[in-house]
Amino acid sequence: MKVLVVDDEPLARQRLVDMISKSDDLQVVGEAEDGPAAVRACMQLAPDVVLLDIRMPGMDGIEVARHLDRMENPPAVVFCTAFDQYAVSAFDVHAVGYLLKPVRRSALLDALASARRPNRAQIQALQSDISPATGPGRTHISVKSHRGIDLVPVGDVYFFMADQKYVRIRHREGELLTDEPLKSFEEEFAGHFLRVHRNALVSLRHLDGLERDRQGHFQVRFKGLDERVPVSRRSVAEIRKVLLDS
Amino acid sequence: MNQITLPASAPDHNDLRTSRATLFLPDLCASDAVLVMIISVELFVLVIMLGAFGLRGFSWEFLAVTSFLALWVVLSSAAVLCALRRPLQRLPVALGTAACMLVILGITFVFSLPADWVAQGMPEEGVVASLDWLNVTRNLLIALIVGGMLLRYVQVQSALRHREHAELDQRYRALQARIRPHFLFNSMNMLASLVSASPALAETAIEDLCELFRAALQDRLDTATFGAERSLCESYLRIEQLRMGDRLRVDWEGVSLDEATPIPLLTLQPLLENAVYHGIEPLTGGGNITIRAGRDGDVVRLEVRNPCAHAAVTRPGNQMALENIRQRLLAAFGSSASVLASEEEGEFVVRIAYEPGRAPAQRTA
Repeated sequence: MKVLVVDDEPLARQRLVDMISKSDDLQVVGEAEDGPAAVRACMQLAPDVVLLDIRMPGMDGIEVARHLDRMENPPAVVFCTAFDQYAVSAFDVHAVGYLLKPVRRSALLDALASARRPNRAQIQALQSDISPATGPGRTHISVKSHRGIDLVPVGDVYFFMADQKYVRIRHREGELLTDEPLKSFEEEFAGHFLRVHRNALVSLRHLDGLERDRQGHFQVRFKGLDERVPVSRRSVAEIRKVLLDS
Repeated sequence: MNQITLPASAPDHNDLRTSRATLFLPDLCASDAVLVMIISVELFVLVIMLGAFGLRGFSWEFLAVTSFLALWVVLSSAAVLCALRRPLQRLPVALGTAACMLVILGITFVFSLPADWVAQGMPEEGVVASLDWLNVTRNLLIALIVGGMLLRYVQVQSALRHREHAELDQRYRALQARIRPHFLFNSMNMLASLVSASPALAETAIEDLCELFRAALQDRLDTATFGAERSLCESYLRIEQLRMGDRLRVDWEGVSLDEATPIPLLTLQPLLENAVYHGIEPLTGGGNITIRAGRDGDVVRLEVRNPCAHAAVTRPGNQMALENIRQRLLAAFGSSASVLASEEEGEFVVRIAYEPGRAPAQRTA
């Protein structure tokens, strides 16, 4: 069984790795110290199980599980936590594998043997049970691609644009298509993104100015991006206000 | 990710914060306070009588008249001060004391008139009452002296209570931080890992943990030396360093303060803890904490800088810890002490300044 160990504390990883290496039928294929690295490692190394720390800076363990769920063959997940009042009961309620640190060897072996892949509903329930303190929003957006899944930091996104069946995500490195509805992005990232048109949601952070095109239609431009996004007449006042405040 | 904020701690923390530099008045309307006042007044009058006339000249009549006046003055003053308690307590000490004295003197003056009549008999109809101004002035003087003494006593007592309160609060807070589940269990996890991987490091880590617990569990937080506080800070940082690796970088370069300089224990350490918890931990890449400590003439200056993670300044735990440190510095070193927090170019900066004076540093056990 191939295991990936994810924890931001080096000594915590070390301990798990030592314990796992003592078993012949278990093999540590890699370690990751933060969320995005964990997702990448899962795609490259295709582990059977991921030992996933919940509290990590940036992307937390629950969000990692959420992104992994988009993979073709996602690994099973065992969450690790030092202590979370909410987490422990949440795991029990949703029947998801978890370990309490410091992890006992017997508990680790049991958890690995019975590790399952949490389904989407379980992950969503965990996220709403455990993460409300840090806000509901993801730190990254994951999109299935030919490479597996692509991760884009939410802070790098210029805008989301709905286009028939898909939503186009324009970000610093390029663009991606996702089947998540625009509405769900709007709700999740309220306060950071603004709906400027029936089909467009723009990042307030990257917003640079409001202008008119040759036909006199309003559009917004972004810092460091040539592309413009059309704006509905109704949103013009709100955008002006945002631009004035910033 | 369950972010744990510091507990609301001391029950009347708000009280502690607002009433520091303002007047303090006890609740004079409480029934036990009224009883105590009546008894005290009677005893006071007795003392005056015994002092003035001795047992030979003891007069029930004088006792009655004097008690009558004193009780009226005291109970009326108490009632008025009780009604004005809220606005009075918002005033600075000097102004508030003056206002209270004005109330007491006014009431004394008003009641001196009927008392005077009682003593001399009611003026007959048509005769203009002649006041014995010497008597009235005597009453006012007594009211001024006794009232002033009582107000002073109450202020000193309340300051003492605040000081004890702040100290208790800080120890509670330090203990709370040690048993904050993520700190405790992650530290234990780290020890479990070190025991086999590196026994020597495990040993140091256990010693460091013990030092932190010991500081938090102490009966009293006496003024310690900067050397002791620094050693405590280093213990704390070694533990965090083991956990966070190179994500945590600490710069002690700007520390030139003499080790023997007096400083209350747990002054700098909570600041570092805040810096780690609010500033470094949320950052994927970690960051730098810069510590400066030096002397500027008579003034000791400490400074802690850390990167500003999202909304670090507005987290309640942070503000309370700062307020608490301020309270204790004020108690130990007087009004020259200050604790200021600010955000500068993406960094959260806390600056502490105080004058340790010539008070010798007491060593803490």
